Amino acid sequence: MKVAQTIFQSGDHRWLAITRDPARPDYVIDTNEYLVTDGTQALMCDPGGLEIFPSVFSTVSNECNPNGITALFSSHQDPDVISSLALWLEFNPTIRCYTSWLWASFIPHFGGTRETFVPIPDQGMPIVLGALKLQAVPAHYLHSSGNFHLYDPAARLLFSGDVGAALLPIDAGLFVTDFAQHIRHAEGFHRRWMGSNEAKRDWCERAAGLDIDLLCPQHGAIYCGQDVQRFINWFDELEVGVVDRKAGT
Amino acid sequence: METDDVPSGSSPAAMLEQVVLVNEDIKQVVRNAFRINLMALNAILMARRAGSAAGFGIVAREMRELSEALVHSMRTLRALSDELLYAVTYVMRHARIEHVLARAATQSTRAQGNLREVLRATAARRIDLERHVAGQCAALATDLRSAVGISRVADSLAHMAKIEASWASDHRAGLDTVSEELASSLRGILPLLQALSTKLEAIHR
Ligand SMILES: [Fe+2]
Ligand SMILES: [Fe+2]
Repeated sequence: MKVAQTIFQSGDHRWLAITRDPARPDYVIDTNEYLVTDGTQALMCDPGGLEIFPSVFSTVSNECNPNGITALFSSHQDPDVISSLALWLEFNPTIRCYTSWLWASFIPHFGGTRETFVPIPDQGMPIVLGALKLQAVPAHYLHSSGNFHLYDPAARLLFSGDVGAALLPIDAGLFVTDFAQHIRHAEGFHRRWMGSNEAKRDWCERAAGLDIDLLCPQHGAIYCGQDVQRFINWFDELEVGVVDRKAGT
Repeated sequence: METDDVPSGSSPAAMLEQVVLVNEDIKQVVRNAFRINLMALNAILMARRAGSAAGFGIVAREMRELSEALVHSMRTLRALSDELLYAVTYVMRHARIEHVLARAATQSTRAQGNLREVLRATAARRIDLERHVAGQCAALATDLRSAVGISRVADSLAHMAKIEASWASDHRAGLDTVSEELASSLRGILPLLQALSTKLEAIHR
């Protein structure tokens, strides 16, 4: 089973990180799932792959009643993000999935019907959960061509999908504690996966304008406080869209 | 309950829905059991303060031992319930794959022929997984029965504590309140445990 940890709580408003699955086979990339709840209502960010669904579902059930999950937020179309969709729908067919309009007819290959998807326009949109007003923030081409992050202004938390991802050993902590040391595990990933320097610059400006205490990626560790700005600055200067000819062979 | 019967008659998704409800009830029961354990500790402290209430002190210590056993049983219950959830979700994932394969087999006789062996193996694997779920249901039921047993004895002890409290010369009101609280919490937990057993039987059936 995975580990669940509350990363933000204020009254009924809570963010839960579901991370580090010791039972995960090593050929499957490790993912973080995030659950935001307002009282009994919950939304799951990047619910993960078909392979890890049993682990994610039982970990979530330990922390809250999964019947309260009314929505999924799929930052993009990748299998590690949303290939568990059919199983979530089997448990609750009324769950809605927010995703880029670009992928609304591709993700149904993993499951779901026309009614399942709420397509997000390119400029983003507000997403209401109970009393919370979340915001889908554009992050196109980072790395997917239709890509969104989810911002919670009340928690000052940005779920950043693959941006900020790092490939860490399984026993790594949940939070970044030594930025210089951590970022070494993120560099190769960002250079290769992120496709556009222009899109990256755009995102860095947008992110710098948001008030963020916690930057929560789908892989690796969470950046807090000063490390959020450190990450944005680092990313701004990094040249992306580079293929290392020696790697991947 | 304790046979290796394969649960049948409901889809994995329907079964998961029931198991989720059981898990929610278990979380509730576990919270109550932890509260009872704290109350029992409180009863010991009260007895010590009341000095002269020796009989009450003995009952309170027995009560604390029982409530520790209850907490232990609850920890097992939580762990078993986690495992059951995992196992049922796993069956659901497997059934989804089986369903897609079965649909592929209906497309043509050639496809049916090619997939016959695969489908057979997939069905056999599902039966294995379902047997595993049945075993987990049975283990959960056993632990529930032991929790019911412990709670019953604790309930009678709480009544004895009330009688002992009435004999005490000091702090009688305090001892009386603490034993009444224990008795009413135990009265609350017993029907929850019994309702859980019934729900579990419904899943297993
Ligand atoms: Fe991705
Ligand atoms: Fe990813």
